Amino acid sequence: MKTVTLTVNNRPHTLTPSPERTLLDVLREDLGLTGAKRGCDAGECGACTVLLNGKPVNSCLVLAVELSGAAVVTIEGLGGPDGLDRLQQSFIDNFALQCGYCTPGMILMGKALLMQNPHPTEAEVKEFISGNLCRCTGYENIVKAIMAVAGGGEGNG
Amino acid sequence: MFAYHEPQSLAEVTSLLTAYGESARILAGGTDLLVQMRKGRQQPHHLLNIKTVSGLEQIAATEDSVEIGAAVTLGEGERFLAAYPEYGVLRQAMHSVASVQIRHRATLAGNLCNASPAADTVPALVVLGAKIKIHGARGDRLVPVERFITGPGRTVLLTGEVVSAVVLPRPESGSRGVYLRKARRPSLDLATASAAVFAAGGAWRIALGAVAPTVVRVREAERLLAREGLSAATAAEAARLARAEAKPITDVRGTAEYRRELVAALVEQALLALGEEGARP
Amino acid sequence: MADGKAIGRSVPRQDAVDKVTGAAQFVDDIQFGPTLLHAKILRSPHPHARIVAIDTAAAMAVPGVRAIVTGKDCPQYLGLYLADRTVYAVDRVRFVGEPVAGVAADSAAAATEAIGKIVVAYEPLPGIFDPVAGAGNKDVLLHENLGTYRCAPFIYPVPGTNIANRFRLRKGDTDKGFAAAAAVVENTYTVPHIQHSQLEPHAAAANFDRAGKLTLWSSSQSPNAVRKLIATAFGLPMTKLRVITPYVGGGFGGKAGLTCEALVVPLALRLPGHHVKLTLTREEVFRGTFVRQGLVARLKTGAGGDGRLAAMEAELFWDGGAYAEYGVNIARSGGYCSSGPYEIPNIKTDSCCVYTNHPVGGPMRGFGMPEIHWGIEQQMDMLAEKLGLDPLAFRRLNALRDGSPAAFGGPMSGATLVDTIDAVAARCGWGGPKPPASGARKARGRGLACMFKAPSMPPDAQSSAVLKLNEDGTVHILTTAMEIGQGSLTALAQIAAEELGVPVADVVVTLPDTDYTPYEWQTVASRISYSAGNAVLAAARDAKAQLLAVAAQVLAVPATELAIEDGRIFPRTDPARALAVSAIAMGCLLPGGAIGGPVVGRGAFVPAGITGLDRETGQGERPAPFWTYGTQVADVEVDLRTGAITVLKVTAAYEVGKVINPALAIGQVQGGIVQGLGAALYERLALAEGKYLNSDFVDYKIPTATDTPQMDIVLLETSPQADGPFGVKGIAEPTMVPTAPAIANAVYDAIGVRIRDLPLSAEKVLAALKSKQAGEKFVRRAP
Ligand SMILES: Cc1cc2nc3c(=O)[nH]c(=O)nc-3n(C[C@H](O)[C@H](O)[C@H](O)COP(=O)(O)OP(=O)(O)OC[C@H]3O[C@@H](n4cnc5c(N)ncnc54)[C@H](O)[C@@H]3O)c2cc1C
Ligand code: FES
Ligand code: FES
Repeated sequence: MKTVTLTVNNRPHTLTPSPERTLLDVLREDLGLTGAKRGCDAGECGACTVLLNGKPVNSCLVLAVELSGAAVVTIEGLGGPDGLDRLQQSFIDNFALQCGYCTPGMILMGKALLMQNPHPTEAEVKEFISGNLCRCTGYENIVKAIMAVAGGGEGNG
Repeated sequence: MFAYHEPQSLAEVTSLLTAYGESARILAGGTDLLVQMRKGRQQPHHLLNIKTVSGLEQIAATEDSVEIGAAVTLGEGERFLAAYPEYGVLRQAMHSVASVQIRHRATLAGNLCNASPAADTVPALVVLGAKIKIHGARGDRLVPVERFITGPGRTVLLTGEVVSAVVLPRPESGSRGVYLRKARRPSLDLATASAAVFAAGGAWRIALGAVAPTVVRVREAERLLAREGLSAATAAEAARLARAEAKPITDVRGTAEYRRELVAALVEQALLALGEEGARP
Repeated sequence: MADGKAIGRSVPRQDAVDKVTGAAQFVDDIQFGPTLLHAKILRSPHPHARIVAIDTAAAMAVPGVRAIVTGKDCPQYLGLYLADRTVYAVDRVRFVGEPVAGVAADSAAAATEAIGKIVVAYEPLPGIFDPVAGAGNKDVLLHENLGTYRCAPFIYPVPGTNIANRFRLRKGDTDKGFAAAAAVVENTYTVPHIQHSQLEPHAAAANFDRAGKLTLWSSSQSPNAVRKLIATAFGLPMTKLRVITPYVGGGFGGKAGLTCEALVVPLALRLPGHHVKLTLTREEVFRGTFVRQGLVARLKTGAGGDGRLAAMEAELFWDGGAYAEYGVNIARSGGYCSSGPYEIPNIKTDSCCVYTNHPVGGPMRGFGMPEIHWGIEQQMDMLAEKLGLDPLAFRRLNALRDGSPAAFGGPMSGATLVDTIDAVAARCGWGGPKPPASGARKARGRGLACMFKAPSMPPDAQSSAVLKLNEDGTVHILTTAMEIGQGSLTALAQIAAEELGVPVADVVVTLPDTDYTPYEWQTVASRISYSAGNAVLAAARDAKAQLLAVAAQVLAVPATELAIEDGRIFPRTDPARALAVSAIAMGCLLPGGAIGGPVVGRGAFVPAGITGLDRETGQGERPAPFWTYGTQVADVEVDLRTGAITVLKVTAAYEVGKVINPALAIGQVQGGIVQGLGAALYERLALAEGKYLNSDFVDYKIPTATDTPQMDIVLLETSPQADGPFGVKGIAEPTMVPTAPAIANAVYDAIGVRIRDLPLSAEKVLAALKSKQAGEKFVRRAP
């Protein structure tokens, strides 16, 4: 079986995943990184979103064997010992979560958006996160949380 | 269970495809293939990751064409085409596919090869007169996009063949197009019906998606517009012709009747939008 | 009630850091290590069939398979209100997706392979696919033994039919009422099955240890109900069954009662020492867990020339699905609330929960109220139009007021509909000019809908809480109330902090673990802030009394003269002489010896004075502790070419007695409105002869961020609930009740078409518009 070397949250890992296993499987089952959630296993909900080489992807639709040399960032990779990432804090301050199941994916989408577009409009935020379902919040506070960081300058994450 | 391969060249892809025949599938972004495998609709024994073939991730722009490699994602394609307003119709179509995350993985070639009647980019590629570059054991061939897809999930690809690029001819300057679609939900949903319109010089092209097994051209409307030019009246007539040309089915996303209504509305709207855009200084 | 130090403040969520960092664990996140086995379920492909034989030999031979169970291994009947189902189908399947066998294996792949190798011989049977036809069909019976099933005393199955519960309400004389009415409207409304679509698929894991104890991890709103039903079904004492519920990724009723937990139990019992885990796929969530019941509602409503409602008749046929163990109670609630939030002197209602070969209907946010208000609120608009009255004024005139007789006879208390109507009217500028549409071939419209809702629960639904003071003065509260996203951990902490006089940041509410946390009926019915809140309040009072007793001795001041604030106890007259709560949390060592001891508060609550309803007339005093009232106005734009509706804005007002945490309460309303919008525009589990045409997010669409309308939300506190902690009533469910009818009324305002069948799909709207235009053309051409 193929051996894959990649970094997850800046830490190197060498894995030999069987070919049908996805990045989501490996994160959750082999690396104990359960922040990425499985909501549909079909690209429809965004709960499994992680950053792959800086871009958000549905980790349920990426085979782990494909990831030689990849850099993956999960929700566990945000923030640090000195505290939360600004976007994480903004989600708390804006009550942008309820059950929390969509939250890791939503936060990573917010990170990805602000990296490519530091000052999005509300409509741009909504469109950007429209591949991420949230059944609890009605999205309003999630949009607010992202806009609050966008308005306040660069994130520290 | 399947074996995973990382071919380095098109020749290697072809020889693997030839060796494994029907049991092999090309893996591009995997956004169609992996979902179909999970639903049990496909059970390949070999996956050939085309993203490891060098060169396929490139977009080459020349005087006569823009060539989009088979490993180029929709996201990359969109970004590249931002500098080419004449390809706006394709850019809009790419942008309407799924979500940001999917577009970071899904390829243009994959959208085409999957040959779904609802594939967004295909009507746009049709009105642009795109050609599909195919690599096989006997070398390369170019097939017009309209001949490439033969039915739902079916293409002209023969055993051993792989799409290496999508070739967009350079339209004459000032050409413009619009892609419109209607789905049940504004975001992340397959089109219930779609329409691409394109005006190049005095010529028009109109293509409809999701209303027949393959993309439908509305040639009578194209001729009408070429003859009489764009006006509210010809737009309305083109819409009527589009409705007549559509051969939709009824499914959980919409009835045949509704799809007919939609293509008419979309064609008219797209034409009027083009008209407005053209009227702007 | 004035805001306090903790109450009435938007205190940050207690679970927020867990959830933004990925630290929050849901069942599927728990790492069980090498003892983990994967369970997969074989489900029925038939809507109705006899099971002739099941052959598991080939499946058992698959490498890695550890155990296979079928219905014969656990044939006990169970159910919350009506014990009509078994864990696995025993000799008959009644819906597509019904569990037939379970496999536990070393890997998910092996379990899946084994599932494919179980051979089941079925003999298909004719089915019931429509509740109206099903109610009258005596030839095809889904439950011949209905008469022998155990059921709650207020549920009335009709043996020999498919009616799992018939609720009747008779009040006044409807014939007389209609005879005197100046306007009568009569319509049939339908509501399809919809799915809760919580983002977290249901999951459960079970471990039967070698000492004979079963531990169950479950994604559940009802840990105690799960324990009770499983303990009963498997003959386990509650000391040998421990239910742990970590965070739940959304419930909305779909994780109430028993869902998939029981499926893993017989597997675990055969495999001591292992952890058998079942996580449903999204398709299984659609096919194998509760759905919101469908409804066919025939409504006839009449009003007098004075604009007052005179009479109504309602025939409600609830599509209960294959098993009605939980759904039967929805028919009851829908029945005794069938008037909507209005005073109507003459009412005749028959509300039947009917068995069909459809997925199992269960509770979903609103428990029958969104379904009945879908029709009621359109009837109101139609009557107002007939009478030439403004729909808002018409509702205002007929609103239940304090002391008004309700449909069930008893007087309504705290009936604050009018307050919410007035608040919404002021906020949205009701009656003002219609703003122009955003383009040609678009039309704007505005619609209104009101609602009421009570917690539908048995009269003795209990809550309890234990409050422990820690050595440092921080507080742990143990309850089995479940955090499902609504913010219960935070709200309960606020209640305790306010009463105890400690900073809310020092109070932590734990997640349920039935071995340690005290009893809670269920986290449903928007009753946690009220009921568990009361238990927590009582526990805090109890703890406070203990602290004060010790402090009184230490400070030599009578307890009645002491106060606790910010974690300090002091004489009211001399606040400087303060004692830290931490100093006496474990009692106090005085020169004469130790006094007090660790402070542990205990609280229990059961609402007083909830009465039953007469079996024949549905009349009674007080079937529920409170009603929450609310009003929403929807502004929509309709695309005349595609029929697509865009909901531009929703203005909402709710009267909730007391707001514990404004940000959390507003969040409930936001989420409810968007969920209501989904039910209004998109959601429908499409079933053809019991088979699913959609059972994933590809073809079952719920709203995304681009659907979110502008929302203007007002929370009122005009009528604090007498027995609610700090006056609180429930809010979570009422939020989605009026959204769909408000949108339907707005669509009528925009384009003059009435749609009585949910959802308001673009296709349906366009078809209605076309047929209206065709009709108009016809009328115009006619001489
Ligand atoms: C949630 C979700 C939403 C979606 N929404 C849309 C939508 O709105 N509109 C839309 O059009 N599509 C949609 N899709 C479908 C899909 O994303 C697109 O069709 C995508 O472009 C496919 O590209 P891919 O690279 O992922 O293809 P893959 O899945 O890798 O491949 C698709 C098929 O084409 C074959 N193939 C791929 N590349 C080649 C090649 N170079 N030569 C020969 N054969 C090849 C594969 O073997 C496979 O059979 C959606 C998918 C998902 C999961
Ligand atoms: S789990 Fe990957 S998108 Fe839903
Ligand atoms: S907070 Fe529950 S799904 Fe978003």
